Amino acid sequence: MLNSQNTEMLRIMPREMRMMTERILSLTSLPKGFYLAAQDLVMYSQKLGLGGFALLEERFELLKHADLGKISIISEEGATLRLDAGDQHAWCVIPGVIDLLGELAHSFGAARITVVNALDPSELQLTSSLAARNGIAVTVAGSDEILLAASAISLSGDISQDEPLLWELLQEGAAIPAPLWWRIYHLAQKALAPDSVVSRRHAGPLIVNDDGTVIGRKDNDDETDISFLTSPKISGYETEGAHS
Amino acid sequence: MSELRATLIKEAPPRPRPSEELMRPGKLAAFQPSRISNTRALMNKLIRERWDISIERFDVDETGSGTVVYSIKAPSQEFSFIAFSRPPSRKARTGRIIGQAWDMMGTLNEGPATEADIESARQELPKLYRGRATPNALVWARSNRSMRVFDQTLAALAEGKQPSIDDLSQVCYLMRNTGLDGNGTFGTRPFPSLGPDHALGRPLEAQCLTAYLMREYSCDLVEHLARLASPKAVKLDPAIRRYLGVGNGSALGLIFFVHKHPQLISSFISAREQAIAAARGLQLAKGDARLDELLALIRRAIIFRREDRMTYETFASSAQVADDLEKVAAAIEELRQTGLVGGEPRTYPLDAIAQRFEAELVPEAYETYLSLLIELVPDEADTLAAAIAGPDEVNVSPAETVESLSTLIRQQYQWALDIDMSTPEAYKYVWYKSETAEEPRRGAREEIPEAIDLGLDICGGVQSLMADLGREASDLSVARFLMKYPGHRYLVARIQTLRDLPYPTPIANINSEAFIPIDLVRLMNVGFHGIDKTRDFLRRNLRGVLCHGAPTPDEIRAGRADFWAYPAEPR
Repeated sequence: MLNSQNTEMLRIMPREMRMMTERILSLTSLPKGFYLAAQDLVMYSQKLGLGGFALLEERFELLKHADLGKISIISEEGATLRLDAGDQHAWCVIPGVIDLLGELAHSFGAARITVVNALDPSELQLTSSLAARNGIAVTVAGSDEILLAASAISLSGDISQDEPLLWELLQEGAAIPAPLWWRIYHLAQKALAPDSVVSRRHAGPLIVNDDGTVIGRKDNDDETDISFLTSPKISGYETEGAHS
Repeated sequence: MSELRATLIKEAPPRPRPSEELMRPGKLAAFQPSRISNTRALMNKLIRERWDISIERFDVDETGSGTVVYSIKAPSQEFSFIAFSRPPSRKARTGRIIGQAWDMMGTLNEGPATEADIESARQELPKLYRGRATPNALVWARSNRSMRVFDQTLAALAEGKQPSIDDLSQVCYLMRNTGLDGNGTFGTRPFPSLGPDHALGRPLEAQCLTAYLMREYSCDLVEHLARLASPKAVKLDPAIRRYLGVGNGSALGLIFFVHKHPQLISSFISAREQAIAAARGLQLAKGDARLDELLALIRRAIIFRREDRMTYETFASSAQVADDLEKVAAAIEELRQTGLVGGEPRTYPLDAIAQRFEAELVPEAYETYLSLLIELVPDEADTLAAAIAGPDEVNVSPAETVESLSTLIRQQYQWALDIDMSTPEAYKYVWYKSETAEEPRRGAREEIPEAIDLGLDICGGVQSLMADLGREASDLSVARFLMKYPGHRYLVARIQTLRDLPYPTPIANINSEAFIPIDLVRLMNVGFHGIDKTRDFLRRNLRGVLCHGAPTPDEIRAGRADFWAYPAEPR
């Protein structure tokens, strides 16, 4: 599959996008409890034609220093609220914005939040798709200062109706240029632990000691190549186009 | 008579077991295969619907190198399994995912196999993590021969003889699954996208079908190679083919699965418990034909256990299980002949037998009894199994108050609040994945200090969350709370989303010395998937048999309806 610029495009599925997002965000200062709940942000951005994974790659260094404590409520009156993003990336703001829209819509039937001082504010557009699962319909307007308006909706329990973008992603995945995806893949690999002889002992049906002795029963039917488990370096699978 | 009536009135109808009792890892580890388990439910569906599975192509040379294509026809949909056979290599061979020697790689696709599908699979499968599945691919699979048993079987068939049952019974398979990847991995179709009308639309049905096809492939391959080796070669006796399953290795990754899919786990356990409760609630009188059926099933399980040659480290031996099942059989026999349980009339006699034996039997025997009871309510069980599902997403309920959330946590997670997380043992281990093949591993923290902890620290997380909730006003909304404490977002969403589910989370601190990983691996392998003879290694790995006793394609096509699990040795 090639795009109009003759770049190979890959069809990437939600599971893969969520996993790479989680891994990459785990390399930043964002708390684990935040990034585990933020796996869909980049995927939605990609599918909507916003910054997507190219933006994640571009902003990775900045996200390493993300500080969610800088996000604050400037003012509030009834169902209307003004939020200072504290120069944090829009992706860091969106989950909290959806919460606040949901809370206000629950209390007042509708809600309006203006977000200022967000980096890449256009990314706030994905809020309207992501908030659907929380039972609110959200419209997004503006460029620097972003106004988000929400009203409560009822959910049917059918994902194809409640979250059409997620349904589309599950059906078709997202098209991502191959070179970009493999760069993302390698960046995410950094979240995995380096392989070593010691680490290899942390899994498997037997343990091979430094002196070659084996701990554990050998009736595992693996026909395990012991030298493979004790070799200093195991080469990966990446024999073809691994670093393209 | 009035005394009897009083006894009968007092008995309450059996109910699903409570979460605080059932969700202990030791208890979950004792679950046994049942009609609700994935492979058994799928095989029963194949038989009921008379699926048509046939070989379309078997181009494999005498070295074991070549291409194989199967056609799988469901009543309303067709699939294909494209497999590439390779000569076995002992270099870099291991049952772990880090291994690099696979004797078979294949893909289960929607639709008949096209040349384009076959060529794409040929190019992409060997790349594994760098490979891309075609849009119609459901599962990528890999398997390795059990070298000794495969070679013995090949030699016997080539000589015109059937293989030795004593040899086969050592492992009960010719090839072992070393990977079943689907649900979006490598670009395969996500299961939630299939929908309920899809022939493989239930969670993990596509993987279970692929496991069965690997069983068939292993038998077809050994027959094919024997034919190439000798003109006097014979085919496997159908009884032996049925007896052979496909091997399965599982390990630490399933702990991640349990934590990542709490709604699916709860749905499965709930279906199983409801089916068990329905069966325990049957009011059976002396001479009821269902007691004959149950007795036959228990006796079949006893023979299966008596013939089991596996060695188990942490689980009850099969001899113990068989001995205990003899006690259950005697009680059923008494009920069948007299209508009494221990000399007493009971409203719910099967429940009374369960209560009588719960503390006396080894857990595996007790759970075998409960699993077999499900066979007495087949329609209800199949309906429950067909409804097992659970989305992966969890969401925050932002308008809930701190007070309400705190109350919920005290009600449902008091066990997590009670665990002492201040001791060195509480965080002794870290769960991580290696960069090599993304293998899930668990090691002492000091041995792998650079690892990012991928485990879900329910206990530490809940304790920290409760401490922070306690610092805030009781009427504060969760939305405002998470503004101040964004690190609690995932756990809050999880707790809120799962609030109405009975069995979403095992009661365990997985980071501690006391946690035995194999317990949850066994829940998934044995109870969830229906794998038999699961040998345990180092309290973290299992080797077992999938589709042990599953009918052959001819029998599926003919709609063979008898109970096929717990096969006796085919002598």
